[in-house]
Amino acid sequence: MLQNYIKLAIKVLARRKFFTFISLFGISFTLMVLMLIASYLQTELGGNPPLSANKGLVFIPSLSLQYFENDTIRDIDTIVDNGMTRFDTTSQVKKRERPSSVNNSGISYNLLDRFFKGMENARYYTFYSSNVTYDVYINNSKLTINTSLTDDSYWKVFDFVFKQGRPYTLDEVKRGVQSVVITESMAKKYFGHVDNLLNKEILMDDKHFKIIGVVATPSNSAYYVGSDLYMPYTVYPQQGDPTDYFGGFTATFMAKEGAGTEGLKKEIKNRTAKIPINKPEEYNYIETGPVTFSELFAQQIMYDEDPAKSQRNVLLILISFISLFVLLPVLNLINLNISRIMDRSSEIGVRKAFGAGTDNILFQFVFENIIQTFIGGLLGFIFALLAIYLINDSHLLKNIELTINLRFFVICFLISLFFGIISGLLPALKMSKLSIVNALKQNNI
Amino acid sequence: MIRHIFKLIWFKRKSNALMVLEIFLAFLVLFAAASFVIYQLNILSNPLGFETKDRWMVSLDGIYNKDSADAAVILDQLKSDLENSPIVEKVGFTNSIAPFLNNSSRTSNDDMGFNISSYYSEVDRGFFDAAGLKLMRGRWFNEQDQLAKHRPIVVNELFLKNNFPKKDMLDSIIQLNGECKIVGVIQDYRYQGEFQNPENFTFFLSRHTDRTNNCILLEMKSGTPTGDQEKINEIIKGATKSNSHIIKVLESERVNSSRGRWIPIIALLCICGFLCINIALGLFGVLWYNINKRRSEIGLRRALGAHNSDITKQFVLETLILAFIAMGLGLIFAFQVPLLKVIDIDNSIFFKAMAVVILLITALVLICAYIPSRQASHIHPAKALHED
Repeated sequence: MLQNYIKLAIKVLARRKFFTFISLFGISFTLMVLMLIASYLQTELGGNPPLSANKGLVFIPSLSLQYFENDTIRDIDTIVDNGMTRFDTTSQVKKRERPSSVNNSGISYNLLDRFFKGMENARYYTFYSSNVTYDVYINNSKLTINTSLTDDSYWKVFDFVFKQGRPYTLDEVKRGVQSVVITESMAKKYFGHVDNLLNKEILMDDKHFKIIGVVATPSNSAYYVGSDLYMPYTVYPQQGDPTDYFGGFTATFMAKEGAGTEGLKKEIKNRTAKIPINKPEEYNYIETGPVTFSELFAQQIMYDEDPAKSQRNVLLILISFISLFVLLPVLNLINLNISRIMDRSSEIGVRKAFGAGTDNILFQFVFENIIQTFIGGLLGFIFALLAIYLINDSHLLKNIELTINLRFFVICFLISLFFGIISGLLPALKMSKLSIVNALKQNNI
Repeated sequence: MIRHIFKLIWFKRKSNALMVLEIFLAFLVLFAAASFVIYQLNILSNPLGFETKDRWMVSLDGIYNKDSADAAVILDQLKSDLENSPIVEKVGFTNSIAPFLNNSSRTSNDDMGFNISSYYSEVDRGFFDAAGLKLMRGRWFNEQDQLAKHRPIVVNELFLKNNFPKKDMLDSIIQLNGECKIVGVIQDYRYQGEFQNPENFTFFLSRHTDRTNNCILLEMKSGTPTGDQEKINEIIKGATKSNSHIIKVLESERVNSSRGRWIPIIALLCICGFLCINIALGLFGVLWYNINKRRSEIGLRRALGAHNSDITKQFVLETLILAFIAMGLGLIFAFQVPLLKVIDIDNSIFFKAMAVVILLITALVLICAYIPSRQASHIHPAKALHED
């Protein structure tokens, strides 16, 4: 029977080509856009290397030193006492709600080393400095190298895919050896190829760095992993005042397996409260604002001091945008289907006269519609692949390489199925309720 | 005629409701998109305030960590070396709140009884020419300013407009990080790029030997090739004895910084364009179908003496009224945004967006209704009546 339905569906699609075109155009483009959005979110948040463990990560992106001024509020009550005026004065000191000065910046290695080591809820932790840039001149042209200065546990927190070689070890970090790990895209820019690069040297900042590892270029844009070159932070000794809290470092913690990030965040907040205030005339409150990876992503789109609120807002906007965006083509399709289905009233009349039940008819039309959306979905999938190829090829989204995998395919399939059922149900319901006499009579057009 | 049309619409209220709902939703989506795009274009239309053509910028790393006396020697050496270079026209020093670096600092003060807040940067005297700022009134910092009793500041026009409307504040002394004297007004300095919201801005004066000055803006001889960066690189390496600095070409920085903001705008416009086409095609299909189903009605009207254009007018009017009902509903919702101040931006943007969307939808509906109605009006009465 399903075979019959498929045959019928294809026949119907071929009958009125203009209407078929309108339907398929709407379906395929809507699904294409949805698939692109799915691919983007999947690339950015889907837990691909080097961020496979992103659900268990907590970041301290920066340190905030804030100064809250105290307001002295003086209430003066005037009291008439025996014909004499008397003043009753009360005063209270209150911290203002908003800080009068806020300084945000990266964190110094010393501060992280002193206060955020060996936390109970953290499995691994890493302190590193991203996006230190160096200009290198090769063959008369300039190459800007984004460099990360990291410790050895960086490679445990972020699971980079090593194509060649290995990461640097704790021992190498301690000795401050000039060994580096580079990405494939950096290798292509510097050497022009990616083969046999181990033990070759890169000349940067008048130093010779030995390549000990080559990693696959991360496909997402996360700032914390998106460098060209990684080296032990000990290559450059920390300059400046060792008691300074600000510096160029950030920290990432990985929660214990199955423990969730809440405990980790709380522990970071507790530890933050213990940091002594060393310049009370400049600030009197320290904030570290630990965030999870998805909150970090949300904060980049819509910043809010409270990371959870930021995440909620972004989610709300995304959901309302997508539902509005899907609702329109669905409505359009329902409108069109209701008109089109009238064509087939005589067919329904005949089937009903020969004993088909309402549910049979309903199933047939929804099924036909699903076939139609799958054809549209397939077209949309092809368009999406094409668009992804074009976007990646032209580097339209900086640092982001949109990815396609099985999960993406399943998401696309589910989107198409949902779309088909939603847009087919209402017209089919209307049609299946048609009485036989009316259905047989209305056979014009 | 109108009453008759309303009656017709009411008779088919069920299928019309779907069409109204569709146009209503389309209105809301397009309204949101149009507001966003108009808002961004509005920002874009403001002048950048400084030049990027033939401008390079050097960011020094590690100057701040040096002893201030050492840093002064290095920076002084750098200034004279760069000025003596044959490819450099002008040299200006600024702190790290410099073009396209995504840094910003803000200060606020309410000692005068009301709150003044302003973003600010510290620059040396050479910065004006090197950046190509546009002076509107007053003057730029001069030699005597270094020793002046009140700290001299140069502000942008928006600063005066927001804080001291309708007053000539030139040479006045205000409270902003201490007592400051406004010596000049510049057009603007939108250092984050073309999509930066116009903000209050203040320049404070510093010496070029100050170690906070870790960015150097260079005006190059016009047409200097980017390959010459290596020459500048050598000069800086010679003076700082280190390699930790970056040279940026401001023109390409400007393009890059804007590119990230253009992508969502263009993506949104593409999606909306597709939605419009989709809706138009759908409307066209449904109208074409419905009008064809009403052949007998058309035949009857034609037989009773209605002209071609009367038939067209009837159907177009019917669809237009539906569209206006839908847009009216949409407007009720859309008006809440500026009325309730849901989003704190200029109200005129929302009104412009409403006008644009109403025009767009009306045009779409007109086209989609006109073509099938015209076709229908050519139906021969005898034929139409015979079929029934």
